[in-house]
Amino acid sequence: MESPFDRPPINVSATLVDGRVPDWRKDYLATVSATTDDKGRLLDSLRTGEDPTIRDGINLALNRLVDPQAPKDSLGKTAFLVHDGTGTGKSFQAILAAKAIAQETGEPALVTTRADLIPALRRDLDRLGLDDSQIAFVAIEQLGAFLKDAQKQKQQFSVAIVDEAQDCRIPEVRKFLDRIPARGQLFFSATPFHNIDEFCYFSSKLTGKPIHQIKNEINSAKDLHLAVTDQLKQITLAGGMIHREFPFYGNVPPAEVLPLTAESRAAETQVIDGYARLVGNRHFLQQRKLKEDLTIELNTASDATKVDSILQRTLELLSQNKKVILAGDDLPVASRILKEQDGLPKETPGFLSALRLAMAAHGIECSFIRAFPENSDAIPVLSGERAAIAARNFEEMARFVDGAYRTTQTAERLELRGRDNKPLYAPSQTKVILLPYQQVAGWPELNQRFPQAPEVSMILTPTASADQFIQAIGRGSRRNSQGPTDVHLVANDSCADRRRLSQLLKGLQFIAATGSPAIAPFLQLAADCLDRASTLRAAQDQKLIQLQKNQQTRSARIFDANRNRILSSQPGVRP
Amino acid sequence: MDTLDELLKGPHPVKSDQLSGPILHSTPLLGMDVWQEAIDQFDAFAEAEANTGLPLEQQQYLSDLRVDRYLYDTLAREFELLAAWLRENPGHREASQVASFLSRRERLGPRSWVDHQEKLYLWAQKSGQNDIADSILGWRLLCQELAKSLLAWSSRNHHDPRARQIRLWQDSQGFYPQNRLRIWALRFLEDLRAPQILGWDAAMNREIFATHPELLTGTR
Repeated sequence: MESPFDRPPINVSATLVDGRVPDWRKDYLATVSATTDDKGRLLDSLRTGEDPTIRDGINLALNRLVDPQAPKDSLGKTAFLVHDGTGTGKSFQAILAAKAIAQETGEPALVTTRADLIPALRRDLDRLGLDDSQIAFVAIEQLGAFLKDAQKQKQQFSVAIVDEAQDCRIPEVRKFLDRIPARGQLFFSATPFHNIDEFCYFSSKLTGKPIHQIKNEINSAKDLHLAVTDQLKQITLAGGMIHREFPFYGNVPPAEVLPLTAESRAAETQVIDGYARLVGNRHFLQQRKLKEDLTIELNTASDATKVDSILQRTLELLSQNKKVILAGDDLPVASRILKEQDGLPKETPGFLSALRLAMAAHGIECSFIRAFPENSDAIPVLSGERAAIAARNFEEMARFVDGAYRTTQTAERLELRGRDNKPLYAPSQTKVILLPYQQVAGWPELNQRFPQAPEVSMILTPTASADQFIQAIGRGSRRNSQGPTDVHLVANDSCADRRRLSQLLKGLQFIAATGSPAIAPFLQLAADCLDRASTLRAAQDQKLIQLQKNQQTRSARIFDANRNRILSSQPGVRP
Repeated sequence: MDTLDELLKGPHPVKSDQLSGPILHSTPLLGMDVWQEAIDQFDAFAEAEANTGLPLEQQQYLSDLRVDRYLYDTLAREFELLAAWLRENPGHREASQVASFLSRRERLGPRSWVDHQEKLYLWAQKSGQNDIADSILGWRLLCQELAKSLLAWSSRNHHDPRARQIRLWQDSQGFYPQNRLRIWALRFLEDLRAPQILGWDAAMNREIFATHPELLTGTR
């Protein structure tokens, strides 16, 4: 299978507007030059090479940002969005745009992103042979304190550049960004729009229209997806954004749809009916919580029925010398409705925990990533517990990653490189990793990064979140993947799975409306899987109804026969 | 899936923005706009240095709590100023409306209730399935839903005084939205969305006090 990464990424924007992406008028990148000759080759290739991705991105962005006629938001700022997929060179574009606009305007540029990503940006700056003159790198976590100081010193910036701009979903980030004394805002993100709210935020920035107007336009549209696509077309045609992306590198066979056993179906009905009774007896506030618990209980019960099949599938893949990334939920449940024989609530382990036990019983050691306690990222008092889990997860992840590493005295994990400066290959300790959906983002090294390493297969269970689903796929198919990734979706015809698949499909359709080519095979996968699960369920329901009818008829016959027997056996009474 | 869909639909909070009576406008009486002043004086950078370097989600959490306290303080100030006004203007034609408005003051409760939400939330998360934990967590979920709809409503009606207070929310529904909703409901009790908020609040208080009074230590 040919790697799509050997070619430039697809220009999604050009496809969206039938090739009518505005041309840039001036080559701003040409003015940026390396301070050291020996490192200038990389920069030269970006400026003049065949792949125009980086050159186009920077020049289109600057075209817009320095244009006095461009739309401005309520604060008088002009914005541009580089919506480029993973591995398309966003970081290079961010720092080169900073350099170019500083040169163009004579004012420094401010570059902000999460603190742990700033060293990588600085390394990229060095790789390009550039220094950090005229660029202020400020960790996004320190923006507040920085701005307080900048206000006093009356500093002015040409542009505020935000790498990983999906962080703009956080109101505090939006607030500080708007207070940066800069004329423009330049956003970089592979996933800027997870939902309508986030879409409206960026759309408002890029069109200059008030956010409530955008929301009204979107919400009053007959077809939401069409309205989103239309807005993106208009923004693109007006020179407000650019979107490039690599397609998915791998194979997506049809989903495996498992039939639910009669026993599991009965249990599912019992749980739903039981919750209906509970909800009827509880007050308003508790009802809201029960609704959430019902979803979790049904999902965990549904996933529990897949453990054996997924174990078998994993064993098959391991026998084919593949590594396996398994993504699913891990939410243990003590049922509110179902009881054990001793009268205690029926307990079902989390899906991934159950799989881990099943694998261990077959002598397979897995890397197991634990989910964090809910909202532990926000509540300071939970940060200790979170850090302990994070440290353990890091160790588990390291066991699954291929490549040679050493740990420094400060517990830093360093990749070992050969004489050619290429990473050295060493096989991983584990071949299977269990990833909870809640923890699926990040982890950039789980894919097949070495040609001699085993290929990676993924097994996914349904999730309602399209974002988590796509994040999971991103663990396998990445820019530096040396081989294709197979993605297997395993579902059943339970209410829980059909509901999750239906929500997943809606989410994927929303992302597809923004034009992402990598989504296409998964949109098809989810739609087909939901269709098959629904058909299977309908057939099972029909079978059950027929069975019940037959039983009723049989019971009626037996009853009739008995009645006849009883009646006829009574002496002296005529039937 | 029909039964399940039906079950998962509700419960629905009241989302109508209709009024059951006139809203008190304190500006003409006090000669100042307490809420506009609060908006103008809100210091976005007040805790920037103290929070610098914390993860973004934690900064948002702390900011939400600070906003909740600020909203509390602003409403407390408006009550205080109106109480002083009433003492000086007992015969004013709007005196009865002001007196009625001031009767809500007692329901504001202590300021520590704002910070107390963390203790309740963490306790409910850890204590598993029981009625009171279900109530606490369900309360927060319902409030999230209502706060989100109020934020959206306020962006469409920014000239409405009820929306103006929401400007102080800093575009966030709050981590414990029950805090900011309670302040908003007390101020605009005539809004049809408000009574349910105070109803939930009162029900929660009663339930916790009856079953786990230790959770309310320091709030009464």
